[in-house]
Amino acid sequence: MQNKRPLLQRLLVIYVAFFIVLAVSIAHSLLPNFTKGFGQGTELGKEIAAEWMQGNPCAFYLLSDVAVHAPVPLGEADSTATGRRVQATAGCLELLVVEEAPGATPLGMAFRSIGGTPWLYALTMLNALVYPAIIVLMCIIIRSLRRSIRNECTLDRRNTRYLRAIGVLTILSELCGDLSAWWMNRRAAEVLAGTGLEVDTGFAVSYGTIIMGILVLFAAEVFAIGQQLSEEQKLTI
Amino acid sequence: MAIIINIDVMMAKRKMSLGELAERVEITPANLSILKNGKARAIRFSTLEAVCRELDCQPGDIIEYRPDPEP
Repeated sequence: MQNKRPLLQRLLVIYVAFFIVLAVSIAHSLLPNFTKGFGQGTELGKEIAAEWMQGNPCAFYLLSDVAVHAPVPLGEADSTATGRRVQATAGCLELLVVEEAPGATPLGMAFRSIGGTPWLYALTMLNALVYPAIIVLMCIIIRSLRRSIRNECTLDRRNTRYLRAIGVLTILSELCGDLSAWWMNRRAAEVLAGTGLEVDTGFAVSYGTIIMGILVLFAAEVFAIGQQLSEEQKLTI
Repeated sequence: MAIIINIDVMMAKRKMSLGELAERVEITPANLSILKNGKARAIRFSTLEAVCRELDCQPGDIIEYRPDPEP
């Protein structure tokens, strides 16, 4: 390879940009969400413990991002500062369900804290693990590309494998998230039966992420073809 | 693969070593070894021409088609 420098510089820019985005997303979104979730969890834990002490074991579980058919009116507000009248509605609900659970163990209740079923808890945890896996794979692939450019062997089999894994994990994470949202909406529909609130129980898919995953898989296949051609070129005497 | 390379037979007939032929054809001994062992995916016409010239033979003397046995 004659001029590796521009390639390495471009990869370095991507590497730096990736870490900046990662750091900003952690500081701006992940950390506050985690802190908020931790606070809510602690409060909930205290409530569960209080009920438990009173000899009245109750299962608490969360149903988040519950989509309702008709937005729930929250009321009107007059802004004295701007003189505007605001009507607020909620199309997405966060529900905390409390139900009696005689004979339940603390561990059993803990595993039912999301959506009221251990399967939904497992699915949420799986989804939570897929994202760090994608981030780690992205770090690995950028490092691997830099190394392979230095070694003048860009079309490495490992890079293709990493790209394929990123594509599959991207699609898997989206489908897991959609499945858990659908499941939660169905649970919410059961919980809210008779309250007048109609929950949207349709299976909603974010096609953007799926398309992105397919594009990554496509890039991996282009990489694989390039690698095959390079191997054939090497074996042409 | 159904294509068999008989370059070693011709080399033996001409009493030429791998290193000597590689030097004459101007390819590396490693590449000539790949060709000799049937590991190569393709051969350039320029390489084939040089090998035929140095071994004084026809392409058919060093490349043979032998169909794979039916499974």
